[in-house]
Amino acid sequence: MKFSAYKVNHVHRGGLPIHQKSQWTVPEWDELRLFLMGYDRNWVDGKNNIWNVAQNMGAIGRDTAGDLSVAKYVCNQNEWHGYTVSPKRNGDKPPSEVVKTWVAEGIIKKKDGTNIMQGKV
Amino acid sequence: MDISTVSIEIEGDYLSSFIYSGVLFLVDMDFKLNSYSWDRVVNLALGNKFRIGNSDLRKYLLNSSRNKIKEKFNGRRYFITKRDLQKANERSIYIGVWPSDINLYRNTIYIASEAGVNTIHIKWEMGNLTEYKSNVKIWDCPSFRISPNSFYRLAIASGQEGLVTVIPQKKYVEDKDVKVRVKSVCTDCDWYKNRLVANTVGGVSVLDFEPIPDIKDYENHIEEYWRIVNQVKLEDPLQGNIKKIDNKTVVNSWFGGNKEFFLTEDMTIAFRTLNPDQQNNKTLMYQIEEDSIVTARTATFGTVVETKDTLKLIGQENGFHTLDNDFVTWRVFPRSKYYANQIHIIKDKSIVISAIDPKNDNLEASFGFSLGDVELDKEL
Repeated sequence: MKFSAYKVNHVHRGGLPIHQKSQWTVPEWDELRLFLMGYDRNWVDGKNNIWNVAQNMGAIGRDTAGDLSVAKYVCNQNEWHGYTVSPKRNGDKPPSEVVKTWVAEGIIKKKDGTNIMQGKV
Repeated sequence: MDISTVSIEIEGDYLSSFIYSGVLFLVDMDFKLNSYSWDRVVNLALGNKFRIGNSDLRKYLLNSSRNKIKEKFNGRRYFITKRDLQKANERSIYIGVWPSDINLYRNTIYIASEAGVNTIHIKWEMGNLTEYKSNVKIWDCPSFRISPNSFYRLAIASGQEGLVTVIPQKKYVEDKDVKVRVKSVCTDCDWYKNRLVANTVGGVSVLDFEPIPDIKDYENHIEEYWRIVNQVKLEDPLQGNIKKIDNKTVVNSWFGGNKEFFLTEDMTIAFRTLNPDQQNNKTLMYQIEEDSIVTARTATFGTVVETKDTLKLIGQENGFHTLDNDFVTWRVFPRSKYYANQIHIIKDKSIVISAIDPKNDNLEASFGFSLGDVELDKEL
């Protein structure tokens, strides 16, 4: 996994309206901290995207339908950026092994893990 | 609402469950799919089978859909430890994923996950599962829900890819058999007989497929029958949207028996009978006093509604029953011949399998259905 920089993408911080892009609701340093933790723990999917989740499914972002707790980080030409997603509304989800780890380590409850995998949140 | 229940609680950390033709399937936290003889599970739960009343109860649990629970058994709950459950174990296979949905149709297990949809063929001998055969991937994009239909047809709610159908012309799925039908983010779908509904972020889509003819009408013309079947399978469905029911905006739809159910924007559950004579279709409604509903499905005993923390059962128009408020996930089996009155509720450290009978017999007006009204799978 290559890395040259992490860039806070302005489209997810007021650069575009919320009906077009989800918006972070936590400071940039928290966005970066979640990225580094996911990178460090190798919470990676088959397309080399990094995933993380807020402790106890707390709110770290928002879209038009509500609060978001899951973060996805993608790499474009070795430069990373991240945004918050709803499996239900974005139709995307983290890998099984990663969600299992989140549950096993008590970051989220088993019910939250199930809701993520089933696209209920 | 008034109901009778009998339950078996099995200790263990499970992610998903299914029951089919005498076999209970459980996926555990190690991503292993384990199969158990339901007959042996029931025997383990009841203990001494010669105890007075146990044979009635055993008979009921093995085929509860066709019988009514006796009042003296109402409310009973039996426990099986994880260790004891191993006595009923038949086969195990590592599936490597946290399944978002599992379904089984005509000896084929379908598993949906972030890796797509895989099929595992199973072998039966004398009513027991004796072998998991090939594990074949038929779709490789993140998938959330699957709904199998006859002739190995399958609908997949495939997230960003939308609603996908797999309609094989031959034994094995080829690329040309797979079609994206609705291009809107889709995490839920349901396919009953000729009608498929897709619950998407863009609304509820409905796809009406041409009916596949009955083989009985072609007794001496089998080649002609298969030619027509293959022709019908190639035809595109009529596609539309369900926007309103009785002036309420529809946000979700599913089937229960011969009824078509709807969830509307103002948290009303509505249903109407799937009836060719649409003019006589009366819509019944029940408004739930909740801010949001996560999902809902229907079994013989009523419609189960999941809110943020509670599972509610809607039976008649005049009230609900709280089924659970400490659950992880749940499922019902509206297409099953033997288990249409079961609900499986997975909890943090166990699964509770309950058979439920409504005490009110007016099923026509209920949010459940009568088995007699439904064309059921023959299963095997």
